[in-house]
Amino acid sequence: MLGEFEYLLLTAAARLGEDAYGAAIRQDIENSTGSRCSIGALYTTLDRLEAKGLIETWMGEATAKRGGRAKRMVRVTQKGLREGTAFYSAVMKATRGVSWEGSLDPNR
Amino acid sequence: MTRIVEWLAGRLSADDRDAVLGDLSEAGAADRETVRALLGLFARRLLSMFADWRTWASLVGLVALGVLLALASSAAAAGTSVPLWLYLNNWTMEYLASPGARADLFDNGADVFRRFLLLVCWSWASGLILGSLSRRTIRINGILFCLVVLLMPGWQHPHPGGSNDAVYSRQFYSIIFPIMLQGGLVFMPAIAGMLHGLRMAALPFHFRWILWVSIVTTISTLAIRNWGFILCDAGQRQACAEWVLDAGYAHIVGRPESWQIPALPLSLAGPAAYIAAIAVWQRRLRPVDRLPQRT
Repeated sequence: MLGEFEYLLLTAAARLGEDAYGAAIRQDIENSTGSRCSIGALYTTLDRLEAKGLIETWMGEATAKRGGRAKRMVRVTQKGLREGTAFYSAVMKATRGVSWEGSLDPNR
Repeated sequence: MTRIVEWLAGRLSADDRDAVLGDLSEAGAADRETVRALLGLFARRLLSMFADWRTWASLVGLVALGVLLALASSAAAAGTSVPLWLYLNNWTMEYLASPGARADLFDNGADVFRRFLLLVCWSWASGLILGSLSRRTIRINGILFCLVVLLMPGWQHPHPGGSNDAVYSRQFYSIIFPIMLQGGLVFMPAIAGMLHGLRMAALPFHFRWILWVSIVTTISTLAIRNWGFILCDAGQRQACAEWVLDAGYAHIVGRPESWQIPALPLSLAGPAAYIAAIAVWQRRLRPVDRLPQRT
């Protein structure tokens, strides 16, 4: 079973497709969660997901915007897609019958 | 601040450096933020390393192998000091002139060579295991391993004031020679072994299996031939003396020798298997290298 942050990273990489690389994934996670994503968390999780065979990474092209430095490109593998789907299904099943929206009492 | 960033970034691999610094540059991070991000990355990587069982296995293995090699090297220094003193410090042509002395010279020379070769094989195999277990921690492991070997009190000759005191009381044979042996026959082969260990992951699976069995054989010989010296270091004098006699010195006091494993052939198994595996592997790769060039 994936961890929460692993799932967020896989989802961001899947959404970005061909354009998935470190900075873009980081931005995507920050946009969707509203919280800061540290470089340390991003790269250690990328290492872990790659070791598990859920993603593949390779060095892409360098751009002037990045100070002439290459990107670490990311692609979700078939195994990664299966794991992501399984995590999503588990969350959906666990959430069935529960409506979170509007359940929080602002006075408490 | 830029210097700190450069120094920290220099600790990363070239690809990681490009990816991380490029991402930070793209995000418009200032130097202070970059330093914080790099320190965070190092801290997280360090923590994730210790979540891996291989890191712990290599730490336990590193201490065990370091202790055994420290004992083996001090025992080798003690065991070869007397013949070396005899032939190097007291050389005379009489050693070659007399047939009996000549035979002794060759026997002692062969024994010194055998002991040194054993030490090289054990050290190299220990390095290979450490190098292949945890690729990322190889630098830390290398330093820790050398520290364990250096700091471990070596096996002391059990009979101070005995007949060989003329040798063991010399500063060269009691201090300098053991350090020279550690440097040349333990550290250097162990570091070479660690670097070779990094290449093991590239070998085909069945090659690696054969190699592992051979390396374990070499390391088992190191353990079997040297574990008893721990008794000596722990002050168990009687048990130590008994073990030392059983470990190949019984003939000196005229006692029948107990059964011994053939240390040299078994210790050579690891290095020999590695050389053979690399040779066969490179021969297999060669046809690819020889693909005809396009004109």
